[in-house]
Amino acid sequence: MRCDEFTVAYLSGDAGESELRHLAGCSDCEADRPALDAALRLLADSQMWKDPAPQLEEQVVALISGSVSPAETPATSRKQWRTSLVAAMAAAGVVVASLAVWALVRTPGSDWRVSMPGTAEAPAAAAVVEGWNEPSGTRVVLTVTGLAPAPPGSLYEFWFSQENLHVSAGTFTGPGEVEMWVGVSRGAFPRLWVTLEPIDEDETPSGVTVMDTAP
Amino acid sequence: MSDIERGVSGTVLRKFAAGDPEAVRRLYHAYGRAVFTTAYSALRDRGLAEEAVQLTFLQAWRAADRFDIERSLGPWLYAIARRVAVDLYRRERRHLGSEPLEADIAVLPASFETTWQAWEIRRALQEMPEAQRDVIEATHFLGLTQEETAKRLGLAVGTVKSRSHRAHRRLAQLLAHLEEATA
Repeated sequence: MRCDEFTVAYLSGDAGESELRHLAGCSDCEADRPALDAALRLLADSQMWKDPAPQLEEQVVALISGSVSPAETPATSRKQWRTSLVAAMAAAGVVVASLAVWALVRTPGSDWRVSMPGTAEAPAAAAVVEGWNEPSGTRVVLTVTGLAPAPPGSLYEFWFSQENLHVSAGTFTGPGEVEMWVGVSRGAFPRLWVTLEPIDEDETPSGVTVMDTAP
Repeated sequence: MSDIERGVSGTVLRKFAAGDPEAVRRLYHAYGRAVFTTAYSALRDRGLAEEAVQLTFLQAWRAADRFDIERSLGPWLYAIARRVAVDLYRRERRHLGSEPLEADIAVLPASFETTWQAWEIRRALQEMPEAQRDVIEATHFLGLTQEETAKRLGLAVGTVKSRSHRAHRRLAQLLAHLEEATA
């Protein structure tokens, strides 16, 4: 048996007596076995099979292409992007990129910041959320763009969630900068999301999610 | 040079450095999943991993005009991704703990020890034909037998066996490459 045959059999779980005999007498294969075991552990781990959110590609493209680059003037970009329906989405991307770049390069003051993309309910919406961890909770500033004003009789609500536990940070009615407070930490409640809520007595999140850090 | 790297030429990299959207897309398609997996395997948090992807490509863009196109692009991007993941891990530790000791922040968890393997295996899975990848996923992630895999995928058991053999041979070739790279 050759070493590469042993490796294939070991990885596929088909190693039988002849493979084990080979392993017993082959120092090269014995030396490779920890790497093979590590590979098998990784292949069984769910993280190896998960993909990033589909909209992350657009966010990366907008983040880079919307940034000022020595090789391309902003005027050229704007001229190209005005020519089609796609231009509207690209322009929204530039706004997202500008927000993201702004969030990245501004003077450090917040303890954390995260971008919150729009969902299928509001694909042009985006927000940058900045947070300050305080002893009794978290102060957050939400900078929202591309979101239509809430229809009459409704408003937007910003949530911190840990699986099925949801804590509201407050409500707002449309794009702009909103400052809020929530009595939990982002570490304990990592999912940040915004829903469109009817003004009623129901205090649970509606099914209409417009922005979400965990799509 | 892998199939992925063959798709990213020096011209694409120069356009990427200039912020050309199509070039950004090409690079993202080639490496985005591997960057995500590297960050996710280390940080174990989807939101942080996606933030790491954005920061990795942003930092790569900022450094792209200084990249030597004679070098292999993958290890360079991997190094950026891992460094970004380390920075994010330390940032989160600072903010989640009350007052962690600096030495505590300096020690990285075990999940960071296998980020290179995670990168390479994810790239191998990405380069593999989908039919072979499905068999690998069913076998290793779902833990199915070949008979169960055949039923799940609507294939004959013999077909599953042959695909499994080809897929594992491909993985074995990758691991040989991994051994060379880390030697």
